[in-house]
Amino acid sequence: MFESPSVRRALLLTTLLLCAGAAQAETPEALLKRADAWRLSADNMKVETRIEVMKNGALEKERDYLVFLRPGRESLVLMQSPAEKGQKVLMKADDFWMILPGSQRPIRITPTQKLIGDAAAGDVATLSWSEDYAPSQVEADKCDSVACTHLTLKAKQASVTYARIELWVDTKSAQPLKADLYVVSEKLAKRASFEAGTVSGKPQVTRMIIDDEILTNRRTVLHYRSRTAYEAPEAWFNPMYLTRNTVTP
Amino acid sequence: MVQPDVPHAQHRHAMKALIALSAALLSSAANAADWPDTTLDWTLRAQAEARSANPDSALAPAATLLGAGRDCGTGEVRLRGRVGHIGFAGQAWAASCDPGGVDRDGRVDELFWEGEAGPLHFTLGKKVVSWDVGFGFRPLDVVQRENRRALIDQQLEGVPVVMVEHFSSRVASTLVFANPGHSDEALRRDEQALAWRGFAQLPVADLHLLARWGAQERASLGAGFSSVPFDSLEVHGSSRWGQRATRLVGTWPAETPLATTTPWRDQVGSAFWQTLVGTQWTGENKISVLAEAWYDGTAPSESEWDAWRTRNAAISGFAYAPAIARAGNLAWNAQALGQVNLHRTNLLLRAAYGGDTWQPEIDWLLTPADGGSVLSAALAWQGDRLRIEAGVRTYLGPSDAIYRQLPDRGNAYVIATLPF
Repeated sequence: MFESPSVRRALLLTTLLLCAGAAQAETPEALLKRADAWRLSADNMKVETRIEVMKNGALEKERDYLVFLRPGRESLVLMQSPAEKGQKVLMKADDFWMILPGSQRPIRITPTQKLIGDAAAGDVATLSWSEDYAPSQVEADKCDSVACTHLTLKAKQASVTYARIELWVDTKSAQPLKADLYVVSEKLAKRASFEAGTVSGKPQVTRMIIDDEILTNRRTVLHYRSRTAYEAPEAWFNPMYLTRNTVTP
Repeated sequence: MVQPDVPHAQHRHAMKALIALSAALLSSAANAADWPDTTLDWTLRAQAEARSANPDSALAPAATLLGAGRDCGTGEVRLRGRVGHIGFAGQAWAASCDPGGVDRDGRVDELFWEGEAGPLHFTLGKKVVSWDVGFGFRPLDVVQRENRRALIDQQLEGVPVVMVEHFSSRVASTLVFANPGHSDEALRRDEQALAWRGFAQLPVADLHLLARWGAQERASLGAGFSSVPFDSLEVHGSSRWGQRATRLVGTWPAETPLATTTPWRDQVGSAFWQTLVGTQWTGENKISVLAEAWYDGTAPSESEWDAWRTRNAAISGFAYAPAIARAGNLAWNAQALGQVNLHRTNLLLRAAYGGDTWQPEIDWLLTPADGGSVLSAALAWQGDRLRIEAGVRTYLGPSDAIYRQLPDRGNAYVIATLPF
């Protein structure tokens, strides 16, 4: 009954139109918030992340991070691997600081300096697009065999890690599928894809695979190892507090 | 640090002790994992440093006494951790120099207790307390007083402190009693002092305020800022006024060119200013450039250096004295070269690439007063754990520039670091 190519094309077109219609029914902002929920499951969170840095397909480095997030675009990244242990990066909206264990002194850093390191601190700490980006363009698309929505995200603030993100999400579930990440100079810096799994009975993004488009032989895989609701003390988000030993949970 | 004429057998014993210590740390690290609220990190470090003696220095006759041109190898284990409210850091090393012998020693760099009572946070013990916003020089770093021009980074040694702090999200206040129990006569880093540091995160900049009262240096006030006006640009500055400066002053005997004891003493004198301004640009390509200029009113003046040069010439030309006496006097005069800033006005330029694996950097410190400069270059390779760094430093400028008078013409190093 559906074997006729013209009938199949008509069905496919109808499906795409229906999906596009559904997407139009939902505002892009709402869709983006649903996409965020695949990574950010609570307002105040503690996230354990492992990063694998691959070079020419071979594992070069592993890095562990502990990230504390709270509303207002505030996050604290504690480096856990032996090579980086004691380093901390604090991000408070558009302001950033870094502390190195040798100096015990918070250093103010620029948004561009967030890009430096085995993984850009912004990649590790940013789990919400809707706070940092505004969807400027929306169009229905097809990602492999799945109906998806292509969102063009423009940075609301100049301080975010990437100035523009081209994001594709599953139209129905809002699961992030892939993203192209552009820096301020409009250069495509990284290309990301997302893998979902079940965490505590809830579907979540469990891996983000980032291919460096500048150093083309380099791939970074972020494993979200745990996400738990956790409200870190307010003092932890004061850069001067970070020299205290108690910020090593 | 180096003890001459120590048999090589002791070197072997030192290395055995280090290996035993490492093994003990490994086993304790395994136990620490089962102990809540406990962290234990340690690092093995091997370092080789080669120096080249400076035959053009006025101090060249004292080269042997000063250890100029001496090559050294060092094995070191560094430890840092926390057990509940107690924090600690320390290191043990074995160093072998040629010419020279083997030195093995250790040091507790930090040992402190941290606690809270209501909104106040307390620290008691020996702790690293670094303040200020600059890189080449830090006028507001009144507690730690870190030497920022060391070629090879050292694990900092803390200062005995009693500290009370208060934090909100955007404001912090710290009151430190440094060196409690020290003599009222103690100077510089050992001076007994009460210092307050205020921090406020303002919309346009971070603001740092400082007030200090020292047993010898009396009152001191300072302020600093750090701001990010553009995505890739940071600017910073700090300034401090002090009622009394501690300066290294040379007082030579008037009647003879030679002294019988070191003529160099710390003296507390008149008021001073220290000021630094700087900026750092970082591009998307991970290249960063730092430029800083600073004035340090506690550094020697040009007339003091002129007197130093004149005295060196007088010592060397005093043919009636035995060579060893002249060399000893010249070696004493090298103390003047150990100060953090050799001139009052300084400029620093630094360029670095913050790559994931390869991290080259080059910096150039210029003293416009005499045209002398210090050129340093380093390259680091960062693996999963292992880090290897190599670097060189050389001194440039006119032959009478103070940096050209250093006992070494330059040095080079290689360091391998393996953290656990």
